[in-house]
Amino acid sequence: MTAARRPGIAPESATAIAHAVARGDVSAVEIVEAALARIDARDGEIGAFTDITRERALAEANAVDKARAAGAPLGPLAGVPYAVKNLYGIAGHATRAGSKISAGDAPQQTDAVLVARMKAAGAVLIGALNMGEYAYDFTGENAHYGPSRNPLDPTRMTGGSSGGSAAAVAAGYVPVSLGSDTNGSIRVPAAFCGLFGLKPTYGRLPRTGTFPFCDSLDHLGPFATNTADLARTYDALQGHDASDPVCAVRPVEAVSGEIAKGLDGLRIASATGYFRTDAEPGALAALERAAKAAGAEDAIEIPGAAEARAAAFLITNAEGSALHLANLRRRPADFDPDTRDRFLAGAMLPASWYVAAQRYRRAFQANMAAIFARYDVILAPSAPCSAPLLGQKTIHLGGRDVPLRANMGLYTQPISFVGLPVAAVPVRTGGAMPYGIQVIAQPWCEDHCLRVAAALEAAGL
Amino acid sequence: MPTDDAFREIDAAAATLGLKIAPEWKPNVLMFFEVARGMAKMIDATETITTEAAPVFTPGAGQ
Repeated sequence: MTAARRPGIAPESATAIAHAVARGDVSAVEIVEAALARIDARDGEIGAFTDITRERALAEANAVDKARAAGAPLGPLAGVPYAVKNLYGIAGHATRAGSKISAGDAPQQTDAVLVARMKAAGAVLIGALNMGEYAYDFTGENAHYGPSRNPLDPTRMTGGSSGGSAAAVAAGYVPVSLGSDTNGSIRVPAAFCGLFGLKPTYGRLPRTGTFPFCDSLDHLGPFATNTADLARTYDALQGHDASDPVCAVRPVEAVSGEIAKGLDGLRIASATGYFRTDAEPGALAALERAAKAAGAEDAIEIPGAAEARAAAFLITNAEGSALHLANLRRRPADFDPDTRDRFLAGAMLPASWYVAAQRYRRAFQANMAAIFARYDVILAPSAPCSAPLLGQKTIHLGGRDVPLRANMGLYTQPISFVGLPVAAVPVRTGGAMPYGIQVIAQPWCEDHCLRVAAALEAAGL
Repeated sequence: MPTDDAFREIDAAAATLGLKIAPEWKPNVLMFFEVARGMAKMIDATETITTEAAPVFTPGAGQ
Protein backbone atom coordinates (compact mmCIF):
# COMPACT_ATOMS: atom_id res chain seq x y z
CA MET A 1 0.00 0.00 0.00
CA THR A 2 1.42 3.39 -0.92
CA ALA A 3 1.49 6.51 1.23
CA ALA A 4 -1.14 7.97 -1.09
CA ARG A 5 -3.57 5.30 0.12
CA ARG A 6 -2.57 5.53 3.78
CA PRO A 7 -3.84 8.88 5.00
CA GLY A 8 -1.53 10.49 7.50
CA ILE A 9 1.53 8.41 6.59
CA ALA A 10 3.08 11.11 4.38
CA PRO A 11 4.64 13.93 6.42
CA GLU A 12 3.70 17.40 5.25
CA SER A 13 6.87 19.44 5.67
CA ALA A 14 10.10 19.03 3.75
CA THR A 15 12.06 18.72 6.97
CA ALA A 16 9.74 15.99 8.29
CA ILE A 17 9.85 14.12 4.97
CA ALA A 18 13.67 14.17 4.86
CA HIS A 19 13.84 12.88 8.45
CA ALA A 20 11.19 10.20 7.84
CA VAL A 21 12.88 8.98 4.66
CA ALA A 22 16.28 8.90 6.40
CA ARG A 23 14.82 6.84 9.27
CA GLY A 24 13.07 4.48 6.86
CA ASP A 25 9.60 5.34 8.20
CA VAL A 26 8.45 5.92 4.64
CA SER A 27 10.11 5.48 1.27
CA ALA A 28 10.86 8.29 -1.15
CA VAL A 29 8.78 6.43 -3.75
CA GLU A 30 5.77 6.43 -1.41
CA ILE A 31 6.19 10.16 -0.83
CA VAL A 32 6.41 10.87 -4.55
CA GLU A 33 3.45 8.67 -5.44
CA ALA A 34 1.40 10.53 -2.84
CA ALA A 35 2.42 13.90 -4.33
CA LEU A 36 1.54 12.74 -7.84
CA ALA A 37 -1.84 11.50 -6.61
CA ARG A 38 -2.60 14.89 -5.04
CA ILE A 39 -1.73 16.63 -8.30
CA ASP A 40 -3.83 14.19 -10.35
CA ALA A 41 -6.77 14.77 -8.03
CA ARG A 42 -6.87 18.56 -8.01
CA ASP A 43 -4.60 20.27 -10.48
CA GLY A 44 -7.16 20.23 -13.24
CA GLU A 45 -8.89 22.90 -11.18
CA ILE A 46 -5.83 24.80 -9.87
CA GLY A 47 -3.56 24.83 -12.94
CA ALA A 48 -0.27 24.97 -11.06
CA PHE A 49 1.59 22.53 -13.34
CA THR A 50 2.35 22.74 -17.05
CA ASP A 51 4.53 19.60 -17.09
CA ILE A 52 4.65 16.55 -14.82
CA THR A 53 8.01 14.73 -14.78
CA ARG A 54 6.49 11.47 -13.52
CA GLU A 55 9.12 9.03 -14.83
CA ARG A 56 11.99 11.18 -13.69
CA ALA A 57 10.39 11.67 -10.28
CA LEU A 58 9.99 7.95 -9.70
CA ALA A 59 13.56 7.30 -10.89
CA GLU A 60 14.96 9.97 -8.56
CA ALA A 61 12.89 8.65 -5.65
CA ASN A 62 14.08 5.10 -6.36
CA ALA A 63 17.67 6.32 -6.33
CA VAL A 64 17.15 7.86 -2.88
CA ASP A 65 15.62 4.63 -1.56
CA LYS A 66 18.46 2.56 -3.00
CA ALA A 67 21.05 4.89 -1.47
CA ARG A 68 19.42 4.50 1.92
CA ALA A 69 19.26 0.73 1.56
CA ALA A 70 22.96 0.71 0.71
CA GLY A 71 23.78 2.79 3.78
CA ALA A 72 24.99 5.73 1.69
CA PRO A 73 24.70 9.23 3.15
CA LEU A 74 21.46 11.00 2.21
CA GLY A 75 21.11 14.66 1.35
CA PRO A 76 19.26 17.22 3.50
CA LEU A 77 16.22 17.03 1.20
CA ALA A 78 16.16 13.27 0.70
CA GLY A 79 12.87 12.21 -0.84
CA VAL A 80 11.36 15.72 -0.73
CA PRO A 81 9.13 16.32 -3.78
CA TYR A 82 9.44 19.77 -5.33
CA ALA A 83 8.67 21.56 -8.59
CA VAL A 84 10.08 24.56 -10.44
CA LYS A 85 8.69 27.57 -12.30
CA ASN A 86 8.81 26.67 -15.96
CA LEU A 87 11.65 29.06 -16.68
CA TYR A 88 14.09 26.63 -15.00
CA GLY A 89 15.86 24.35 -17.45
CA ILE A 90 14.95 20.68 -17.08
CA ALA A 91 16.92 18.15 -19.11
CA GLY A 92 14.73 16.71 -21.84
CA HIS A 93 12.14 19.51 -21.72
CA ALA A 94 11.82 22.77 -23.61
CA THR A 95 11.86 25.76 -21.26
CA ARG A 96 8.48 27.41 -21.79
CA ALA A 97 9.04 30.53 -19.64
CA GLY A 98 5.27 30.85 -19.72
CA SER A 99 5.25 31.40 -23.47
CA LYS A 100 3.97 29.78 -26.62
CA ILE A 101 7.07 30.94 -28.51
CA SER A 102 9.74 29.31 -26.31
CA ALA A 103 7.66 26.14 -25.84
CA GLY A 104 8.77 25.24 -29.36
CA ASP A 105 12.47 25.43 -28.52
CA ALA A 106 14.67 22.34 -28.46
CA PRO A 107 14.65 20.35 -25.20
CA GLN A 108 17.34 21.30 -22.69
CA GLN A 109 20.43 19.11 -22.59
CA THR A 110 21.06 19.73 -18.90
CA ASP A 111 19.28 20.90 -15.77
CA ALA A 112 19.55 24.44 -14.47
CA VAL A 113 22.24 24.71 -11.80
CA LEU A 114 19.69 25.01 -9.00
CA VAL A 115 17.75 21.97 -10.23
CA ALA A 116 21.03 20.03 -10.20
CA ARG A 117 21.68 21.22 -6.65
CA MET A 118 18.22 20.13 -5.49
CA LYS A 119 18.88 16.70 -6.99
CA ALA A 120 22.25 16.52 -5.25
CA ALA A 121 20.45 17.29 -1.97
CA GLY A 122 18.13 14.32 -2.56
CA ALA A 123 15.05 16.29 -3.61
CA VAL A 124 12.78 14.79 -6.25
CA LEU A 125 11.58 16.89 -9.20
CA ILE A 126 7.86 16.44 -9.84
CA GLY A 127 7.41 18.92 -12.69
CA ALA A 128 7.38 22.42 -14.12
CA LEU A 129 5.00 25.13 -12.99
CA ASN A 130 2.76 27.70 -14.63
CA MET A 131 3.89 31.32 -14.73
CA GLY A 132 3.15 34.67 -16.33
CA GLU A 133 4.59 34.94 -19.82
CA TYR A 134 8.34 35.64 -19.71
CA ALA A 135 7.89 36.57 -16.03
CA TYR A 136 6.43 39.98 -16.93
CA ASP A 137 3.44 39.58 -14.66
CA PHE A 138 2.04 40.09 -11.18
CA THR A 139 -1.23 38.14 -11.59
CA GLY A 140 -0.50 34.46 -12.32
CA GLU A 141 -2.71 34.72 -15.40
CA ASN A 142 -1.49 33.36 -18.74
CA ALA A 143 -3.19 33.58 -22.13
CA HIS A 144 -1.58 30.35 -23.37
CA TYR A 145 -1.85 27.96 -20.41
CA GLY A 146 -4.67 29.47 -18.38
CA PRO A 147 -4.30 31.01 -14.95
CA SER A 148 -2.84 29.40 -11.89
CA ARG A 149 -5.70 29.62 -9.39
CA ASN A 150 -5.28 30.46 -5.74
CA PRO A 151 -5.82 27.24 -3.74
CA LEU A 152 -7.21 29.31 -0.84
CA ASP A 153 -9.98 30.58 -3.15
CA PRO A 154 -9.83 29.39 -6.78
CA THR A 155 -11.76 32.45 -7.97
CA ARG A 156 -8.77 34.57 -7.01
CA MET A 157 -5.30 35.23 -8.39
CA THR A 158 -2.19 33.52 -7.11
CA GLY A 159 -0.16 36.60 -7.95
CA GLY A 160 2.76 36.35 -10.31
CA SER A 161 4.82 35.77 -12.05
CA SER A 162 5.70 32.68 -9.97
CA GLY A 163 1.99 31.85 -9.68
CA GLY A 164 2.29 28.11 -10.22
CA SER A 165 5.17 27.90 -7.73
CA ALA A 166 2.96 29.41 -5.04
CA ALA A 167 -0.12 27.39 -6.04
CA ALA A 168 1.74 24.07 -5.94
CA VAL A 169 2.82 24.61 -2.34
CA ALA A 170 -0.41 26.24 -1.16
CA ALA A 171 -2.42 23.34 -2.63
CA GLY A 172 -0.25 20.90 -0.68
CA TYR A 173 1.09 19.10 -3.77
CA VAL A 174 4.72 19.68 -2.77
CA PRO A 175 6.22 21.18 0.41
CA VAL A 176 8.68 23.42 -1.45
CA SER A 177 9.03 24.93 -4.92
CA LEU A 178 11.41 27.24 -6.74
CA GLY A 179 10.48 30.52 -8.40
CA SER A 180 12.08 33.71 -9.57
CA ASP A 181 11.72 37.32 -8.47
CA THR A 182 12.68 40.33 -10.59
CA ASN A 183 10.30 42.91 -9.14
CA GLY A 184 8.30 40.90 -6.60
CA SER A 185 7.45 37.63 -8.35
CA ILE A 186 8.16 35.51 -5.26
CA ARG A 187 7.00 38.02 -2.64
CA VAL A 188 3.60 38.89 -4.18
CA PRO A 189 2.46 35.27 -4.82
CA ALA A 190 3.69 34.26 -1.35
CA ALA A 191 1.50 37.01 0.10
CA PHE A 192 -1.58 36.11 -1.93
CA CYS A 193 -1.28 32.36 -1.24
CA GLY A 194 -0.32 32.56 2.45
CA LEU A 195 3.23 31.21 2.08
CA PHE A 196 6.79 31.91 3.11
CA GLY A 197 9.25 32.84 0.38
CA LEU A 198 12.84 33.96 0.12
CA LYS A 199 14.34 36.36 -2.38
CA PRO A 200 18.03 36.18 -1.50
CA THR A 201 20.57 38.95 -2.13
CA TYR A 202 21.10 39.73 -5.82
CA GLY A 203 24.02 37.56 -6.91
CA ARG A 204 23.66 35.00 -4.12
CA LEU A 205 22.20 32.12 -6.18
CA PRO A 206 23.40 31.27 -9.70
CA ARG A 207 20.81 31.69 -12.43
CA THR A 208 22.55 29.52 -15.00
CA GLY A 209 20.13 27.40 -16.99
CA THR A 210 17.10 29.57 -16.28
CA PHE A 211 15.32 31.73 -18.84
CA PRO A 212 16.17 35.38 -18.07
CA PHE A 213 13.80 38.31 -17.83
CA CYS A 214 15.90 41.30 -16.75
CA ASP A 215 19.49 40.40 -15.97
CA SER A 216 20.07 43.48 -13.78
CA LEU A 217 17.27 42.48 -11.41
CA ASP A 218 16.66 38.71 -11.76
CA HIS A 219 16.80 36.64 -8.56
CA LEU A 220 15.88 32.99 -7.87
CA GLY A 221 14.50 31.59 -4.64
CA PRO A 222 12.25 29.11 -2.84
CA PHE A 223 8.66 28.97 -1.50
CA ALA A 224 7.61 26.89 1.52
CA THR A 225 4.91 26.63 4.15
CA ASN A 226 7.31 27.31 7.02
CA THR A 227 10.63 28.97 7.78
CA ALA A 228 12.54 25.77 8.58
CA ASP A 229 11.77 24.29 5.15
CA LEU A 230 12.63 27.59 3.49
CA ALA A 231 16.01 27.72 5.22
CA ARG A 232 16.78 24.06 4.52
CA THR A 233 16.02 24.51 0.83
CA TYR A 234 17.94 27.78 0.58
CA ASP A 235 20.99 26.15 2.18
CA ALA A 236 20.89 23.38 -0.42
CA LEU A 237 20.82 25.98 -3.21
CA GLN A 238 23.75 28.11 -2.07
CA GLY A 239 27.25 28.24 -3.52
CA HIS A 240 29.22 30.15 -6.12
CA ASP A 241 28.97 29.17 -9.76
CA ALA A 242 31.16 30.99 -12.24
CA SER A 243 28.82 30.29 -15.13
CA ASP A 244 26.60 33.16 -13.92
CA PRO A 245 28.82 36.26 -14.03
CA VAL A 246 26.56 37.98 -11.50
CA CYS A 247 26.95 35.19 -8.92
CA ALA A 248 29.07 36.45 -6.03
CA VAL A 249 32.19 34.61 -4.93
CA ARG A 250 31.06 33.91 -1.39
CA PRO A 251 31.14 30.84 0.82
CA VAL A 252 27.96 28.97 1.67
CA GLU A 253 26.52 30.81 4.66
CA ALA A 254 24.08 28.24 6.05
CA VAL A 255 21.03 29.67 7.80
CA SER A 256 19.21 26.55 9.04
CA GLY A 257 21.13 26.63 12.29
CA GLU A 258 20.55 30.37 12.69
CA ILE A 259 16.78 30.68 12.58
CA ALA A 260 16.26 29.50 16.16
CA LYS A 261 18.32 32.41 17.47
CA GLY A 262 15.22 34.60 17.54
CA LEU A 263 15.18 38.35 17.62
CA ASP A 264 17.98 38.89 20.17
CA GLY A 265 20.26 41.71 19.13
CA LEU A 266 18.34 42.61 15.98
CA ARG A 267 17.28 46.24 15.55
CA ILE A 268 13.95 46.15 13.72
CA ALA A 269 11.84 48.99 12.32
CA SER A 270 8.79 49.16 10.08
CA ALA A 271 8.69 51.22 6.89
CA THR A 272 6.33 54.15 6.73
CA GLY A 273 5.66 56.96 4.24
CA TYR A 274 5.73 55.50 0.72
CA PHE A 275 5.18 51.98 2.09
CA ARG A 276 1.92 52.91 3.82
CA THR A 277 0.52 55.14 1.12
CA ASP A 278 -2.19 53.50 -0.96
CA ALA A 279 -2.21 50.19 0.94
CA GLU A 280 -5.67 48.92 1.84
CA PRO A 281 -6.52 48.74 5.56
CA GLY A 282 -5.94 44.99 5.79
CA ALA A 283 -2.40 45.32 4.47
CA LEU A 284 -1.65 48.05 7.02
CA ALA A 285 -3.18 46.00 9.82
CA ALA A 286 -0.95 43.07 8.81
CA LEU A 287 2.11 45.31 8.97
CA GLU A 288 1.10 46.56 12.41
CA ARG A 289 0.63 43.00 13.69
CA ALA A 290 4.02 41.96 12.36
CA ALA A 291 5.72 45.05 13.79
CA LYS A 292 4.19 44.43 17.21
CA ALA A 293 5.19 40.76 17.18
CA ALA A 294 8.75 41.68 16.18
CA GLY A 295 9.01 44.46 18.74
CA ALA A 296 9.56 47.01 15.97
CA GLU A 297 8.65 50.23 17.72
CA ASP A 298 10.28 52.63 15.27
CA ALA A 299 8.73 53.58 11.94
CA ILE A 300 11.15 54.89 9.35
CA GLU A 301 10.82 56.66 6.05
CA ILE A 302 12.91 55.28 3.18
CA PRO A 303 13.93 58.28 1.06
CA GLY A 304 13.70 57.83 -2.69
CA ALA A 305 11.49 54.71 -2.63
CA ALA A 306 9.08 56.04 -5.27
CA GLU A 307 11.97 56.94 -7.58
CA ALA A 308 13.57 53.54 -6.94
CA ARG A 309 10.37 51.88 -8.04
CA ALA A 310 10.29 54.08 -11.16
CA ALA A 311 13.87 53.17 -11.99
CA ALA A 312 13.17 49.45 -11.52
CA PHE A 313 10.20 49.82 -13.87
CA LEU A 314 12.38 51.38 -16.59
CA ILE A 315 15.24 48.90 -16.27
CA THR A 316 12.82 45.98 -16.42
CA ASN A 317 10.93 47.37 -19.38
CA ALA A 318 14.07 48.17 -21.37
CA GLU A 319 16.05 45.00 -20.66
CA GLY A 320 13.09 42.65 -21.03
CA SER A 321 12.12 44.21 -24.32
CA ALA A 322 15.65 44.10 -25.69
CA LEU A 323 15.81 40.40 -24.84
CA HIS A 324 12.71 39.67 -26.90
CA LEU A 325 13.30 42.14 -29.73
CA ALA A 326 13.85 39.48 -32.41
CA ASN A 327 10.56 37.74 -31.60
CA LEU A 328 8.75 41.07 -31.28
CA ARG A 329 9.78 41.65 -34.90
CA ARG A 330 9.04 38.15 -36.19
CA ARG A 331 6.15 36.83 -34.08
CA PRO A 332 4.41 39.65 -32.18
CA ALA A 333 1.01 37.96 -32.47
CA ASP A 334 2.33 34.89 -30.62
CA PHE A 335 2.94 36.83 -27.39
CA ASP A 336 0.37 37.08 -24.63
CA PRO A 337 -1.27 40.46 -25.42
CA ASP A 338 -0.77 41.57 -21.82
CA THR A 339 3.00 41.25 -22.15
CA ARG A 340 3.41 42.07 -25.85
CA ASP A 341 2.22 45.67 -25.62
CA ARG A 342 4.51 46.41 -22.68
CA PHE A 343 7.47 44.82 -24.46
CA LEU A 344 6.74 46.83 -27.60
CA ALA A 345 6.66 50.05 -25.57
CA GLY A 346 9.86 49.06 -23.74
CA ALA A 347 11.70 48.42 -26.98
CA MET A 348 11.31 52.10 -27.81
CA LEU A 349 12.58 53.62 -24.55
CA PRO A 350 15.45 56.07 -25.08
CA ALA A 351 18.80 54.75 -23.84
CA SER A 352 19.22 57.85 -21.67
CA TRP A 353 16.18 56.84 -19.58
CA TYR A 354 17.67 53.40 -19.01
CA VAL A 355 21.12 54.71 -18.03
CA ALA A 356 19.62 57.29 -15.68
CA ALA A 357 17.65 54.49 -14.00
CA GLN A 358 20.82 52.40 -13.57
CA ARG A 359 22.65 55.39 -12.11
CA TYR A 360 19.88 55.92 -9.59
CA ARG A 361 20.62 52.49 -8.16
CA ARG A 362 23.81 53.77 -6.58
CA ALA A 363 22.01 56.75 -5.05
CA PHE A 364 19.23 54.62 -3.57
CA GLN A 365 21.76 52.08 -2.35
CA ALA A 366 23.37 54.87 -0.32
CA ASN A 367 19.97 55.74 1.16
CA MET A 368 19.47 52.14 2.25
CA ALA A 369 23.02 51.90 3.63
CA ALA A 370 22.29 54.86 5.90
CA ILE A 371 19.16 53.11 7.18
CA PHE A 372 21.00 49.84 7.77
CA ALA A 373 23.53 51.72 9.90
CA ARG A 374 20.66 52.17 12.37
CA TYR A 375 18.58 49.02 11.83
CA ASP A 376 19.23 45.41 10.91
CA VAL A 377 15.77 44.58 9.57
CA ILE A 378 12.96 46.60 7.99
CA LEU A 379 9.35 45.38 7.76
CA ALA A 380 7.14 46.50 4.86
CA PRO A 381 4.00 45.21 3.11
CA SER A 382 4.51 42.78 0.22
CA ALA A 383 1.49 44.04 -1.73
CA PRO A 384 -1.05 46.81 -1.24
CA CYS A 385 -3.97 44.34 -1.12
CA SER A 386 -4.88 40.68 -0.73
CA ALA A 387 -5.44 38.41 -3.75
CA PRO A 388 -7.71 40.08 -6.36
CA LEU A 389 -10.28 38.16 -8.37
CA LEU A 390 -9.09 36.46 -11.56
CA GLY A 391 -9.70 38.71 -14.55
CA GLN A 392 -9.75 41.84 -12.43
CA LYS A 393 -8.04 44.72 -14.26
CA THR A 394 -8.08 47.53 -11.70
CA ILE A 395 -7.75 47.87 -7.93
CA HIS A 396 -8.98 50.61 -5.64
CA LEU A 397 -5.95 52.17 -3.95
CA GLY A 398 -5.62 55.52 -2.27
CA GLY A 399 -9.20 56.44 -3.10
CA ARG A 400 -8.98 55.79 -6.83
CA ASP A 401 -9.14 52.93 -9.32
CA VAL A 402 -5.70 52.16 -10.76
CA PRO A 403 -4.42 49.48 -13.19
CA LEU A 404 -3.83 46.27 -11.24
CA ARG A 405 -0.81 44.93 -13.13
CA ALA A 406 1.10 48.19 -12.83
CA ASN A 407 0.57 48.52 -9.09
CA MET A 408 1.06 45.10 -7.51
CA GLY A 409 4.81 45.72 -7.25
CA LEU A 410 4.60 49.10 -5.55
CA TYR A 411 6.27 47.89 -2.37
CA THR A 412 8.48 45.12 -3.71
CA GLN A 413 10.16 46.91 -6.62
CA PRO A 414 12.20 49.44 -4.60
CA ILE A 415 13.70 46.64 -2.51
CA SER A 416 14.78 44.28 -5.30
CA PHE A 417 16.05 47.35 -7.19
CA VAL A 418 19.12 47.30 -4.91
CA GLY A 419 19.21 43.54 -4.47
CA LEU A 420 18.37 43.37 -0.77
CA PRO A 421 17.48 39.97 0.71
CA VAL A 422 13.83 39.59 1.71
CA ALA A 423 11.84 36.88 3.45
CA ALA A 424 8.15 36.95 2.56
CA VAL A 425 5.96 36.16 5.57
CA PRO A 426 2.20 35.53 5.45
CA VAL A 427 -0.09 37.32 7.89
CA ARG A 428 -3.71 36.44 8.54
CA THR A 429 -5.83 39.28 9.84
CA GLY A 430 -9.17 37.54 10.26
CA GLY A 431 -10.32 38.16 6.70
CA ALA A 432 -10.76 35.41 4.15
CA MET A 433 -7.45 35.98 2.40
CA PRO A 434 -3.97 36.53 3.85
CA TYR A 435 -1.63 39.48 3.42
CA GLY A 436 2.14 39.41 3.18
CA ILE A 437 5.01 41.18 4.89
CA GLN A 438 8.52 41.74 3.54
CA VAL A 439 11.29 41.15 6.08
CA ILE A 440 14.18 43.09 4.55
CA ALA A 441 17.84 43.01 5.58
CA GLN A 442 21.11 44.38 4.27
CA PRO A 443 22.97 42.48 1.54
CA TRP A 444 24.14 38.96 2.40
CA CYS A 445 22.17 38.90 5.69
CA GLU A 446 19.55 36.33 4.73
CA ASP A 447 20.00 34.94 8.24
CA HIS A 448 18.51 38.13 9.69
CA CYS A 449 15.50 37.87 7.35
CA LEU A 450 14.87 34.26 8.30
CA ARG A 451 15.38 34.76 12.05
CA VAL A 452 12.66 37.41 12.04
CA ALA A 453 10.47 35.29 9.75
CA ALA A 454 10.80 32.36 12.16
CA ALA A 455 9.93 34.57 15.11
CA LEU A 456 6.83 35.87 13.32
CA GLU A 457 5.86 32.31 12.44
CA ALA A 458 6.28 31.26 16.07
CA ALA A 459 4.12 34.21 17.12
CA GLY A 460 1.30 32.69 15.10
CA LEU A 461 0.83 35.41 12.51
CA MET B 1 -6.31 61.28 -25.06
CA PRO B 2 -3.30 60.33 -27.22
CA THR B 3 -2.27 62.99 -29.69
CA ASP B 4 -1.40 62.42 -33.33
CA ASP B 5 2.15 63.50 -32.46
CA ALA B 6 2.39 60.74 -29.89
CA PHE B 7 1.26 58.14 -32.43
CA ARG B 8 3.74 59.53 -34.97
CA GLU B 9 6.50 59.20 -32.36
CA ILE B 10 5.61 55.54 -31.83
CA ASP B 11 5.42 54.89 -35.59
CA ALA B 12 8.85 56.44 -36.15
CA ALA B 13 10.50 54.49 -33.33
CA ALA B 14 8.87 51.24 -34.49
CA ALA B 15 10.12 51.77 -38.04
CA THR B 16 13.67 52.37 -36.77
CA LEU B 17 13.58 49.13 -34.80
CA GLY B 18 11.87 47.08 -37.51
CA LEU B 19 8.75 46.53 -35.43
CA LYS B 20 5.30 46.23 -36.92
CA ILE B 21 2.66 47.40 -34.47
CA ALA B 22 -0.91 46.51 -35.45
CA PRO B 23 -3.28 49.50 -35.28
CA GLU B 24 -5.37 47.89 -32.55
CA TRP B 25 -2.27 47.46 -30.34
CA LYS B 26 -1.14 51.08 -30.63
CA PRO B 27 -3.30 52.72 -27.93
CA ASN B 28 -2.03 50.21 -25.35
CA VAL B 29 1.58 50.52 -26.50
CA LEU B 30 1.34 54.28 -26.32
CA MET B 31 -0.25 54.10 -22.87
CA PHE B 32 2.63 51.99 -21.57
CA PHE B 33 5.16 54.30 -23.23
CA GLU B 34 3.59 57.29 -21.48
CA VAL B 35 3.77 55.46 -18.13
CA ALA B 36 7.49 54.95 -18.77
CA ARG B 37 7.88 58.62 -19.69
CA GLY B 38 6.37 59.54 -16.33
CA MET B 39 8.79 57.18 -14.55
CA ALA B 40 11.74 58.72 -16.41
CA LYS B 41 10.64 62.21 -15.34
CA MET B 42 10.70 61.08 -11.71
CA ILE B 43 14.31 59.93 -12.08
CA ASP B 44 15.25 63.15 -13.89
CA ALA B 45 13.78 65.18 -11.07
CA THR B 46 16.15 63.62 -8.54
CA GLU B 47 19.05 65.31 -10.39
CA THR B 48 21.26 62.40 -9.38
CA ILE B 49 24.85 63.53 -9.78
CA THR B 50 27.25 60.83 -10.81
CA THR B 51 30.37 60.52 -12.85
CA GLU B 52 29.62 56.90 -13.66
CA ALA B 53 29.33 56.61 -17.42
CA ALA B 54 28.31 52.97 -17.35
CA PRO B 55 27.30 52.03 -13.82
CA VAL B 56 27.81 48.48 -12.67
CA PHE B 57 25.71 47.42 -9.70
CA THR B 58 27.24 45.37 -6.91
CA PRO B 59 25.06 44.48 -3.94
CA GLY B 60 26.51 45.63 -0.68
CA ALA B 61 28.96 48.04 -2.29
CA GLY B 62 29.54 50.81 0.21
CA GLN B 63 27.60 49.02 2.94
